[in-house]
Amino acid sequence: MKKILTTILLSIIFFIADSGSTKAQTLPGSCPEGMAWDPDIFFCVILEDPAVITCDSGTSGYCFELRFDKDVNEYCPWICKWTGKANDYCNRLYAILLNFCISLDDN
Amino acid sequence: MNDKNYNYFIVILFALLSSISCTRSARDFDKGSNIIGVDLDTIQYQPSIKDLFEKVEIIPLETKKESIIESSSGLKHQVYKDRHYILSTKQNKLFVFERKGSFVKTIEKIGNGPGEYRMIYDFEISRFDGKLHLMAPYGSILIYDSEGEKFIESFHLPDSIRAVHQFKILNEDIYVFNSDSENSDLYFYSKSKNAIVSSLSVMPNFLRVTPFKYARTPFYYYKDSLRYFMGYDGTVFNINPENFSLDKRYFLDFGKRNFILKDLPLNESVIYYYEYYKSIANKIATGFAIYFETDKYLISRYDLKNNINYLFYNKQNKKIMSVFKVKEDVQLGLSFIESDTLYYFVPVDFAHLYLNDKVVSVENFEKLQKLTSDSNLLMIKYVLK
Repeated sequence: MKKILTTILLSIIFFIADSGSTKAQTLPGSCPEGMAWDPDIFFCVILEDPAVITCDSGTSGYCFELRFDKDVNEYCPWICKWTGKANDYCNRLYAILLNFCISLDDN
Repeated sequence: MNDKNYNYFIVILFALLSSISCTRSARDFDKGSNIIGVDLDTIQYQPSIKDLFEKVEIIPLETKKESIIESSSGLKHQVYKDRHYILSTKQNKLFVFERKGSFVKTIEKIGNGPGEYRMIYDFEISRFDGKLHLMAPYGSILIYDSEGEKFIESFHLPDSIRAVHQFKILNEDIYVFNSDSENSDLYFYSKSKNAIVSSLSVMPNFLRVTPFKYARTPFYYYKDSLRYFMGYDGTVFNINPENFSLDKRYFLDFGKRNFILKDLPLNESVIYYYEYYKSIANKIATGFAIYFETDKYLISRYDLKNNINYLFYNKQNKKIMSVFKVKEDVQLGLSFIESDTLYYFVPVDFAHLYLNDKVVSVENFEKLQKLTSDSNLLMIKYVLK
C-alpha cells in the first residue's frame, strides 16, 4: 500500500516538476514578465537583460529555490527559499508533496 | 523489485526531478586546537533529565485568533524585558508573549511603504540600543523602537547581494549577514559607512542546499562574543570584531565517526543529498544543527544513527553526555537559549514525545492535559543545572 501511495505521489511530483522546474514551460506567448518563448526548446527563457527582475512577491515561484530547511523538529523540512535570482524557481506544491512523501517514508 | 532496489529507484528518480546543482569544490578544514574528543563508545547516553536540568516547565502560549502560531518550523526567538518575541517566518509576523505565555500583540508590517516588508526571515532586538531589527531576505534591515510601534530607519545591502538569510549585530556599527545563495557566506556591513567592509566564504557552496548544515541559523551568542559554526563537521568559530576573521574555537572530534567532506559527492541534486544524508547519518556524526554555550556547557544538536542527539560538554569537568532520550523515556527538544534556560516550541499533539509526568510537576502535567489540538504552541522551558 505504501509503495502504491508513494508511486502515485511521485507521479504527481513528476508532473509538477515537469511543469515547474527552473525553466518555465507554458503556452507560447504566455511567458511571465521578463521571460520570452523559445520555440527551439519549447520553454520560456529568462531575458538576458540583467535589469529585468521577475521575482514573485509571495513565498514561492521565481527567485525561490527548493531547499531542505533543517529545523529543530523537521516536520516539514522542504521549503521554497528566497535566492533573489530570477532563474531560480520553486513550486510550493512540489515542496508540500515532498514533505508528505517524507512523512510516508518515516512511517 | 526488492526494497533495496526500489529505494535506489526512488533516489534516482528524485535526483532526476531536481534540477538544483552546485559548482564549488569542497574544502577541508584543519582541525587545529580546542579539540573536544568524543568517544561515542564510552560516553553516557541516557542520563536522567535531572542530571541535566534543575527543572522542566511547560508554558502554553495563549490561544486567541490573532495569537496562533501556525507551525513550529521556521521560528526565531528572543527574550527581551520579560517578554518572548517569536518570529514566524512562515507567517511573516512577530508574536509577543509575556513570560507566562499570555498574548501581548503581533508586529506585522507587510506592505511596500517605508518601514514595511514583503517577507521577513530574521529579527533581533539589539543588545546595544534595544531597537527592534527586522531582516527581509532581499537585503533590507528595518529598524523600529523596542515596542515595534515606531519605524525609525532602514538600510539596504548593495544590489549585488540578492539574498541574505540570517543576521546578527556584531557591535554598534557592524552587522553580520549569512547568505545561503551568494558567492560568500558572511558579509560584514558597516552602518556608518553604508558599505560591506568584509566578506568571507566559509562553507563550500554546494553544501548550502544539503542537510549538512545548521538549522535556523549558523550563529549564536556567548556573552559578548558572536560564534559561527559549520553544520557538516561541527567546527565552531569566534567572529573577531576587530578584523572580521574567524578564529577556531571548538571542534568535536568523533574519531572514526567524523564527517569527511571529501567523501561527499559534488554537484548532485538537493534530493540526492537528502537521501545520502540519511544513509550516512546512521554511521557518522554530522548535521550539527544547533549550538548553545553557557559558562558551564557547550551543547550541540547533531545527527547520529538517524536520531537527533544533544551533546552536552561540561566545560568545567570535561565530561560529555550524548542524549537522544533521557531515562524518563522522552526526547529532548532544545531550540533557543536565554542565559541558562533553553526553550522549545511544540504543537500540543507532539508534546507527548517530550513530556510526561516524570519530567514535569503534577500541576504542569495537569495543565498539559487540559490543552487540545486547537491550542496554540506549547513552550517547554528547561533550566540548566
